Parts: sequence; structure tokens; C-alpha cells
Amino acid sequence: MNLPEETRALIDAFLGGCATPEQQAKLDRMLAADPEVRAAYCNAVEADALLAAWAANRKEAEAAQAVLQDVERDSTPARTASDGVPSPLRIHQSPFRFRPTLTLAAAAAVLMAVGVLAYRFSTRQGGEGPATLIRTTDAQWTRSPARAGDALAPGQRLALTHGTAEIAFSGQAKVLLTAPAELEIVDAGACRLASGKLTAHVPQPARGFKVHTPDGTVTDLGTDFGVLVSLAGAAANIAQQSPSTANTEVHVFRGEVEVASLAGAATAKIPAPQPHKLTAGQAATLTAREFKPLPAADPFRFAIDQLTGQPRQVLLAEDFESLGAGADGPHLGEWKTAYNSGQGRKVIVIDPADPARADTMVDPLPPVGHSAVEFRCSQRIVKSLYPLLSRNLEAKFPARCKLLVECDILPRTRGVEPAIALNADKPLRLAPGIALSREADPAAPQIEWRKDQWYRLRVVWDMEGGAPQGATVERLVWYGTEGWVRDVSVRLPSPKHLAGPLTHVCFGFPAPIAGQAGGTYWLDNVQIEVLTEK
Amino acid sequence: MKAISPMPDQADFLRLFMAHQGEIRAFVRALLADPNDVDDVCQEIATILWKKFDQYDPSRRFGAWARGVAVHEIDHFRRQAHRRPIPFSLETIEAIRGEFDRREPQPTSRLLEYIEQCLRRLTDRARQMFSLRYERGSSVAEIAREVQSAEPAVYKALGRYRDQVRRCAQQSLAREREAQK
Repeated sequence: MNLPEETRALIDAFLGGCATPEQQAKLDRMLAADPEVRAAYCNAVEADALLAAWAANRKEAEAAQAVLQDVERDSTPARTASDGVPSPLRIHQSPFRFRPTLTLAAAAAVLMAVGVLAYRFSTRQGGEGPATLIRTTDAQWTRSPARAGDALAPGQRLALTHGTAEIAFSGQAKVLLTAPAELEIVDAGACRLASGKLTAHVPQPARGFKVHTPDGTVTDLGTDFGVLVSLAGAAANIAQQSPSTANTEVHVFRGEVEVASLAGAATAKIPAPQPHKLTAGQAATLTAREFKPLPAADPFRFAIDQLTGQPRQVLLAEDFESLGAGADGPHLGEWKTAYNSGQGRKVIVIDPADPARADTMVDPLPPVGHSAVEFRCSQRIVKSLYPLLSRNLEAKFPARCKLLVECDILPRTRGVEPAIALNADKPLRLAPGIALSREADPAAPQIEWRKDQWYRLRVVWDMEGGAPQGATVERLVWYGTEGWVRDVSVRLPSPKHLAGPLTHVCFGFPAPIAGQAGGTYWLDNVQIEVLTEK
Repeated sequence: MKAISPMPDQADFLRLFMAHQGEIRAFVRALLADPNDVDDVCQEIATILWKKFDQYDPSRRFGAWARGVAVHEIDHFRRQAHRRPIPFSLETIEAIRGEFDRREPQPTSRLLEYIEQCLRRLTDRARQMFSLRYERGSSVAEIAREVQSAEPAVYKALGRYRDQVRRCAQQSLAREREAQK
């Protein structure tokens, strides 16, 4: 470098975060004026970014190695090995030859960030026969275990007690079965769900694919949908909240289905009842007697891990809607599509000494961009605030906001296997300066972190009225041996940082939905689940 | 084990994005005073790039297009609560952007491998400082305390070592290219 020592020092000070305002201004001037300084600066910055990337990859590699060693050590022969790679992001082949790269993280960040929701069904097609078992994840079967690649015969029954299984029908429909479930293959275009949960993806060529249930038949008209059959007393996953009287539920995520109840077959005198149509976003329960619409399709309950296809073990699920949504519900924000020049941004002021009072002030600053979000804190939420951690009272809210969930590590007191504690003493904090807390509920499950484990933290934001037009944001988190959980957006283990007693998980608040005049975001669900290691 | 192929334009996007990811990251780092913000902003940029990918003109260089988006996102980011303003004037930002536009895209994954090798040639002290700075994410002040040095000594040392590693990696890359001819 031909630069004078002083200039180099200036660049280094700035990159080290040590430059004074005067030094910054000087650097600014030099960068604008002198191409050599610019070149040197850009070189330094490139190196800095590269080293940061190198460090991140290194830790991923170390952690991945640790995971692989665990996997190899704890191999359980009773389980069917995961075939195929469910994640669309795994670009390299064998997991046992991990090469640290930048690419996985980048790809994952992109796809995660854009919220790719379509389940990545495997591209392998079945062989002959009406159906083929394409892929399983952590699957356990009651009777003869089926393995990925097995052709399935008409009439064949599959009873899955653990994990998931993906089945491709030769008519091109694909079905994901989530344990516990029992499925019978009828033919290339139909199956029968005796119990459990399935998610179906039916492309146009397979239109007409049928799922028979004890209560009726769902005929697909080119869709993605989910069917849930719960028998009395059948165990379901913790997040499931099916009303006790419903037997079959159908939720449509994309496209259209036709639902025909078994309520009375046609006789000579009485025609069969008209089948009902459900379109995307709709759901219904179906008993032999009655077709009853549900408020909305709930991808939350059917969603499999969008990235990995892993079964979900839910540790904690908070349904804020059921805590009494409505005028006083956990109302987190309002948004508008545009600000007129006469409007400013609103500022919420919270006084820690008197958190029951939350004022909104109009900020005289001009609006930013064409859309912005304003937040309002309902009285009820503010009242349940615990001492705020934020030092700054005035919160100027941008178009995006972060939701922080702070959790304490609790000692294992209840002997309950892996767990997480959403401590009521620590509010859900919206940065900066505002927090949301649920009332302390002694009946709520207390769980604790299990170390060296992946978790997913998922927050669902719903629009007013519960219509699923809101957004779901997710973070995969790793609780490492040092105790720090780091926000990552890849399926692979994350860097482990120094220990801290708290766990921070950050979500971006979803952007306003274009074309809508305005609305209210409600915090709908918070869920924490364990990702099985693979 | 077969990887699932994404939709065609996703594949294009991923390919382009990953090829330029290092460059984009460096550009963002050039404009943000706090390296901790770089990840956040890069993620935002990635989202926007994907959303706008249908507007991308393939005859234009992806890096240049991405930097345009990045400038906008950085501006947006710094207007958020408690963000310090970008320390640079518009003129400087444009000049830096021009500098990046002039540069050849770097093969990031190759460079990363060379960095691994180059780091082994450094002194223990240098590796320690890099570990503190980049793996642990310590600030210069924290490093100074830990190694019992003054802050200027720390940031100058970091700069020196960074420079050494960069030159070493570039040389290795140049040698590789020579060998391929």
C-alpha cells in the first residue's frame, strides 16, 4: 500500500469502530476525493467481510462435526433412515463430508427470508403400482416397516407411529403423512385416511385425487390441502386444538377441493347432498352428519417443517387468539399503505414507572418512504407489562420492527423432556421500548432448553378477523453447549457464541401487504418446537 | 441422495446471488459503521433482490444491480430507531459504489479456502486477534482489554493482519489462475 501511515490508521480505526466523528468526516472527504484511498478502503472492507464469512463457516463446520458425531454415536436401528435430502438448500451431497462454504448459508437465508412456503416434495417418482413410498423421516411403523422406495400395492395399509412419510401416487399426487396416522392406498388416484394427519399436494394432472375419510370424501380439484382425522382418544401433537366433537377436518391452502360428506348416500327418494367446495384459505369439519365451515385454514397445524420435512415436536405453543383476542387482544400494530404529507409517524411513549399508560404521540418528522407501520399498544397489554428493559422511552417505529423473545434457562425441575421456558417475568419485547407479555399462567407448561439441540421459534401474525393473510416468521435456533442460542436461518448448526443467561431470538415484522388499505396485525401464535437432528 | 431442484428462476437467482454474495456483503460492510448490522441488512437485501428478481435485466451486471438495491436498503435501515446515520456523504457512497462496480467479482469460496491456509502462516497473536474479532465478535475495546493493549494498537494490528491475509489469498488465487492457463 502506498498510502501514508496516517490514512491507513484512519481506515483501520473506522473499521474497528473507533473513529471519532471528526475522523469519520475526514475519511468521508478522503474517500470522496481520492481514488487511492477508496481502493485501499474497499480492499480492507473486502478482507473484513471475507474474514467474517470465514469465521462463520468455521463455526458451522465445527458444530456440524459435533452433530454428526452425535448422530453416528446414537444411531438407532429401529428407525428408518432418512432418505433423500428434504432441504432444498443442501447443495452438496453427503452430509458426512461437510465442506464449509458460504453458499448454504446464503441460499438458506434467501429462501428463508422470502418465506418459501411450498413444501418441497421430492422429485422422485414412484415405480409401477398405484403408489410408492418416496421418503420417510424418522419413521416408525407398527407392522411391517416400509422403506423409502417401496412400491405400495392397492389395499396396502400403512400405520405410522412416529415421523413422517411421503407417498407419491402414480397419478402424480403426493401425500405427506404425519404420525400417528393410518393410511390405506386405494389406487393411483385415491387413498383412505383412517386416522391422523396428511397433507396433500395435487398438481393439475392428478386433479380428482380423492382422500376418503370415515366421515366423507375430499376430492381434489388441483390443490394443496390438509386432512385431519382424529379418532376419539387419539393422541395428537401438542399444538393441535381440534374441537372434541370434530372428526374430520379439511384445510385448503391452495386451489380448491370438493368435500362430500357421508351424511346419507343417495337413495331412490333422497338425492345425495351436494358436495361442498372449499377454496384456498378455507377449512371445514366434516362429520357423517354435518358439514361445518371453520373460520380459516390453518397451515400452522399442518405445516411440516417447510425446509426439512421433519416431524414437529412442539414444546410450547401459545395461541394468543384463544387468550381473548378481540378489541383487547394482543394487538401489536397497525399499518397503513401510505402516509399523506400531513401525517407524521406515531411515537409510542411508555413510562416504566407507569406502564399502564401508553401514549401515542405524533412525530413531526416527515414520513419515510411510501409505507410505514405505526404501532399502538392496547391498554390490556401494557398493563401486563413487567419492568421494561429498554432504556429509551421514545420509540420511533420504522417499517420493520423486531420481536424479541427472552427466555430464561430454568433448571430441570419437572423431569419433562426437552423444554423451553417462556418466562412470564420476561416480557416479549418489541424493540425498542415496548413489550408484550402474557399473564402468568400457572397451568402453562414449563419447559426448559435442552442443550445441543435445534429449536424452531415461530411467530404467526394474523390479520384482523383471523384470516390467514398475515405472515409467519420463523427462526431456527441452536442452543449450544455454551448456552447461547444464536439466530440462524439455516438448518445446519449455527455458530456458538459465548454463554449468556438469556436467549434472544429476533424476527422481522412482516411488511405491510401491498394493495391493502390498512389493517391490524394480531399476534396469533408463538410456537417453539424441537427439530430432530439429522 | 438427491437434492431437490428449486424452480428454474430460483435456481438462477441462487446461482447469481451466491456468486455475488461476498461482494454484496463487502459493499454493505463498507457503508455500515457497525459490523453487527451487516447480517441483518444483507438478509433484507437478499429478500428484496429475490422479490425484484423478475425486474432484473440479465444484460446488466448482477453485482451492480444488487448494489443499487443495497444502497436503498442501507438508507432504509439507518433510518430505523437508534441507528447511527451512515457516516458517509452521498458523494462518497456513490464513489464507493463505483469502485465496487469497477472490480471483478471474486470467487468467494476459493478465497475462503485460501484464507484458511493463509491464516496458518500468521503468528499466534494475529490468529488470536482474528478469533476475538471475527469468531467471538468482540469489539476493539474488548480485545484491547483482553490482550492488554491500547485500542489504536489493536485496530492497527487488525488492519495489518487483514492486509497480510488479503494479499496472501490474492496471491494464491493468482497462482491458481496462472496454473490453469
